[in-house]
Amino acid sequence: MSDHHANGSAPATSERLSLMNYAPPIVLGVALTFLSSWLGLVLAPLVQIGDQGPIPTLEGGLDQYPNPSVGRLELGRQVYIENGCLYCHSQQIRPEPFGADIARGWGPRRTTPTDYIYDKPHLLGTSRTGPDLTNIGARQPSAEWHHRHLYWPPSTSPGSIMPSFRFLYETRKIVGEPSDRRIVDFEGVPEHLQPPPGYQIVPSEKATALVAYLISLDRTQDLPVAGAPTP
Amino acid sequence: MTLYVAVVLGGAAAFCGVAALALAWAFRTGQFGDLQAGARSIFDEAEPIGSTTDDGFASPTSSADSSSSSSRSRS
Amino acid sequence: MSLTVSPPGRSGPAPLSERAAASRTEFQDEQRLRAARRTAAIDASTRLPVLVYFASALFWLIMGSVLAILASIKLHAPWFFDEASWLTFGRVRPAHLNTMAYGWASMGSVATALWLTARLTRAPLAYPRLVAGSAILWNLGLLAGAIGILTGSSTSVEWLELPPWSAPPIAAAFVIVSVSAFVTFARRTEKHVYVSLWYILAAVLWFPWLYTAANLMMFSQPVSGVPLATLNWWYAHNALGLWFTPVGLAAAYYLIPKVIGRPIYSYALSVIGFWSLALFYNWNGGHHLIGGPVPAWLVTVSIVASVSMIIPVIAVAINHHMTMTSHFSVLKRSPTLRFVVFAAVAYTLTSLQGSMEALREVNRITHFTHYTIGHAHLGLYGFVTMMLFGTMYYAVPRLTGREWASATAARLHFWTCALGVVLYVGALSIGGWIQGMMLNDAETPFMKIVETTIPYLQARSVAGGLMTTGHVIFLGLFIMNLTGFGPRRQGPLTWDERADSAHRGHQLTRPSSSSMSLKETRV
Repeated sequence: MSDHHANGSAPATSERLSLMNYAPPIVLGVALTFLSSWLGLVLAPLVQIGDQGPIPTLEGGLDQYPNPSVGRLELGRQVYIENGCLYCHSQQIRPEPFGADIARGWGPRRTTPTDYIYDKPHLLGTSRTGPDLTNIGARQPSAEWHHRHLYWPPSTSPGSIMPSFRFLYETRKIVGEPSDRRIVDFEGVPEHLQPPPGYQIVPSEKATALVAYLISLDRTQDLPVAGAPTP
Repeated sequence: MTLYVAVVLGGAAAFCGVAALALAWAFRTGQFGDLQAGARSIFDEAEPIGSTTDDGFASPTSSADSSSSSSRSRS
Repeated sequence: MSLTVSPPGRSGPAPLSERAAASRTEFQDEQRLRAARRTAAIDASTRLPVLVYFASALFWLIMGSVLAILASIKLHAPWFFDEASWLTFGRVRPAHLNTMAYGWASMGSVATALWLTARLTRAPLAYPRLVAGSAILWNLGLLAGAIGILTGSSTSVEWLELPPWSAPPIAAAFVIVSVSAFVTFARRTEKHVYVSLWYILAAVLWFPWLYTAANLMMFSQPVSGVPLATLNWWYAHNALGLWFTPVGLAAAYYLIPKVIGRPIYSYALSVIGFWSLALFYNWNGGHHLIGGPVPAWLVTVSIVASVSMIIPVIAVAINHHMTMTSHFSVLKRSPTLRFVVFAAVAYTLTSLQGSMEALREVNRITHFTHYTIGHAHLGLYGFVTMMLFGTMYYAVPRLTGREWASATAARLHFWTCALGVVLYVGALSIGGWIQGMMLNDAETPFMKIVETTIPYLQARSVAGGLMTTGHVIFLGLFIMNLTGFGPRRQGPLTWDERADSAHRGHQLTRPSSSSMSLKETRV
């Protein structure tokens, strides 16, 4: 056993040890395998699709797709990120035989890397506890609907398990004319969450930005690389 | 595109070649030789092969709620 | 066998053969005592850092459990604590994942890795105080990060949600841990490098590198879009495959043979298992993006690597099973073995399940569903968490010098956690599969799917309650052990070196107890 060695005396027999008893071959081996996957899964996609730009959508390149989220849209994107929307909502459409994404009406075509060139961080998502949001702006362009939904999800979507985001809304006393941004329709909202007489529920800046971002989510643009849109 | 395919296939072929050579070398130089000595290296005179070293659930005779270990002496 | 050293003034000359036998026994006793003392001294060198890391890990386990139960209940009762922004599901869930992954599982794995490194190299742990100090850095970083996630600074990059001020201290602490492990290794006095040590060396090299590289590329480089998704899943899958898995396997490769007193079945098999894991596991990440907007070759390569994982998994499974053969009765006596064997079986199951899930036809159903969450918990709970519990049951008494105060509580701990995780994985696997089938049928209204999954989500909350009960019981056991409840460990342990050297004069009277107990242990 190892005892003689620890005692400081020489080993009784000159035993030949395999390379697995030395650090350099192990460290070198595991470093190389690790690097190989970095080259394959990180660097290679970066080289292949990392330098894509937007495509012109009008004659003469007057408009482009996609467009970066700026200003209020970027703030809305941050609200989406900080409240972890992606833990239940994906933003990707898989091609036709692979799942029912297109058949469900979530999008007219599969999404491609071009659709996401400005996304940092990416928000592809891995869960569909709620529906996909790739094209939610095209599917549900009503800001009023989104505010009612965020304030009390079952009011627009009975049976929903989405949490209420009413912490993004403010109850304000009506001074003079009521705000035109206030939530008007409270059907399906529990009594105690409706504004008392003389008060109104108005979206905070964050709620307004989030809804603006959601409505901006529209990846229905025809892309040559994605193939023809499925009818 | 052809370049990518060439690089990927070439890389894969080179990789498999190196792996095969490494394995051949390992067998030839006896890397798989006396490995069992390594397997025995975690045992010593105090805890030799054949002695268990953990029996916290054992000894139903000892007081109901105290675990005892093999390396505890009877006191 | 003569257990005590003969007194010098022994009356009457003994026959020659008897004297020779007696001296041989004396020599053996002395050898045993020396070996036991050496192991005890090495354990003692790890005591402070390992206990600090274990204690921190347990703190995060309890925090993570509370967050887990909150998140779980919210999925079937969305009104539960919904008035505050910091308790919304989308913040509680990443807070749960990060406290569990970087608090409980990582800090527990650090303690496991360092304790094993010292034992296997038969060298005292290098820089113990510095390593203990690194735990403070780590804890503060993670606390700031967890609060950051709850207050709205999450990055929403799965597994990398910790805000920018949180990752650097954790990475720095980890570098200290790695340096300590490598320096200890360099000072080794055991010439054989045991299989567990291969895994640990690889893990402490891989993880700080991986963690730093992923954080830098994700947040500091001008990269955007889909390449970030491949980076994300390269990182996240490697955190499992190149950090938790190797440390968990290292613990299994050490504890199973050690507890039952039998060398590992095939060392050649473990070489194959190690290198095939190193080769295949890090290529798995792309299988999280099947069907997504990523290059098809990347997904295919990851599927091939995922299926190839069958090689290391089967190698490990055969090796552990053949080692255990005809020794399963030890399970009745050893709390450590019970947890470790449960964990080893869970490793085999979750790995084979993962290989299947990576196949396009299966992934078509399971992707985006609760099935994936069940699979993740079979790995991180059934395997990693149970393995950490098993390691703690073995290591902690050898560090504190106290046995566990209550075998009944330990049993309760095992059964609540074991039943909890079985219920958890069972419920989400069935519920998730049904969810996936329904999602793929465009005629099924979405709300119908939500409604169908609710009973399974409720079962998951019950499972979480069971597991948390077990965690609280174990926390109680751990605190009792640290505060001096429970029978004192006796025998060959010189866990208190100072007391021992002060009593050097009585050294020769100590073997009696040690050899006696050693004799008892022979089965």
